Amino acid sequence: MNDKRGFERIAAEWLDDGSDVTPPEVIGAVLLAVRSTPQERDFRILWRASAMPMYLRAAAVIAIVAFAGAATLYAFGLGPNVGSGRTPEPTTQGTLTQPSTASPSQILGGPPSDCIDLWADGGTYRATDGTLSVTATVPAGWHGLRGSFYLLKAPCVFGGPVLLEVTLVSHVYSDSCEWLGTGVEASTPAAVTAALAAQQGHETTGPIDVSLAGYPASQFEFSVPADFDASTCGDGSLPLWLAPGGRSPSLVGEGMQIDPGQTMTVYVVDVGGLAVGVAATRWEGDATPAEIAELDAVVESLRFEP
Amino acid sequence: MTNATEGRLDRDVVERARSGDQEAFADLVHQVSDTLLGVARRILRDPSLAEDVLQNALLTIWRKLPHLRDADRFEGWAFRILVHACYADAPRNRRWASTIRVLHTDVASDVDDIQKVSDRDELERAFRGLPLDQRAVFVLHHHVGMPLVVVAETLGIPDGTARSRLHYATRALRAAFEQSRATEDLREGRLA
Repeated sequence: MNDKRGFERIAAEWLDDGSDVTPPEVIGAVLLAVRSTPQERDFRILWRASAMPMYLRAAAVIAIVAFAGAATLYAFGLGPNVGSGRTPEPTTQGTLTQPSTASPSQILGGPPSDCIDLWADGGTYRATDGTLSVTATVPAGWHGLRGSFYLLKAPCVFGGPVLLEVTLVSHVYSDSCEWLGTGVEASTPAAVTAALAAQQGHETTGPIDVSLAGYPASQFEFSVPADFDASTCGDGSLPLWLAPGGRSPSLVGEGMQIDPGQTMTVYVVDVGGLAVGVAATRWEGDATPAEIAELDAVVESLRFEP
Repeated sequence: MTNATEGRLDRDVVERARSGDQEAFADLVHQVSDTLLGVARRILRDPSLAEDVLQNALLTIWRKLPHLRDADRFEGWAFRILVHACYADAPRNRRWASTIRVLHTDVASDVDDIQKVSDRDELERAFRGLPLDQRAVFVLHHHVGMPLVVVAETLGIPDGTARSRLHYATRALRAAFEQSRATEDLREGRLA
């Protein structure tokens, strides 16, 4: 073209199309809310640890650790729904056990409530899934989610070049592209390994026998080219497995999927007979060698407590 | 295209709003809301959701305004809060990819119109398939007119990350456009 000029022109027209006039009721609602919403003052300075007096810093550390400890105890069985019999679906609870100073997202927009901010100092991140507890040591510059084991190298709510997810596995799809209706029950480590080895829809190397956190594991590497058109796949996604009780493999914590442009090192870990799926993912061309090394270190730090 | 450097905001209005003046903040809202809504609408591709996100962002801006040290940086700071709000309020999945279907609302009358509708349909579909962080970079750069270094600074990401996100987004849209053209060429060939 003219196709180049045509693309630029049509994309610009498409992007700029439409009205951007804010409806008066939207502005009205904001201004009404402002009347009863106080501004935040002098809060950020206090939360910058370096600017706090030592005694305040110590007090803040104690308070945060106490809070995190209480949350951990809650997750480990003192909550009202834990230990009271069979739980129909696994529950997960991410917690942070190290205080953290403010990240850009804390200062500017405020992280969503399900984000555990590890931006400033890193920390020990823990999630429980049923009877399994998973812990990782995370450097500064990451965030995790509550409700599932999900770690991403970025401030809260941002996408990042490397991420780490852990779930239990109950079903594996025989084809990650034409996946609808192909989920096969595979809840033992051996069955999950065999099913993933046979899985179609992505490039695969492995499995090889390794050890992770002291447990036997099978290691794979999956990848999908960046120019692969996922819209040709069922539901436009490429899921690998579903977690026990998971509704959709594309939901965080309820399954695993791979996206075009990603390379994923997958471990199927045999933790006392439980099939634990670990996915360490990097965006090809986006993740730097240093970021990949950081991801590898977080994987090395994983600890499982059945 | 909106130009980020046009219509500089009155520093005094920002200062007064920062000190808690609600009337000054109302002035500020009237000055920036259309631009912010335009950005949210283009990132999210959902007018209703964009209005909700704009409300949340404006309220966050009000609450956090005392933390803004330099009133001259208000605009970029507001964009950053807005983009955060887009990320936070969008339906969450791993890469925030959306599979919402595109509705055809135009009735094409000739071959050029059909081609145009097809092109836009493919662009829309491809854009909705992008993660929100790529969409944000694309919109701030191409719609707002921010240089990439400013986009990176606004979003708090490295320059290289902004470049790669823009690259991925542009590549996906170009591929969709070329696919649209190829499909149309094929259709015309079959009809001939």
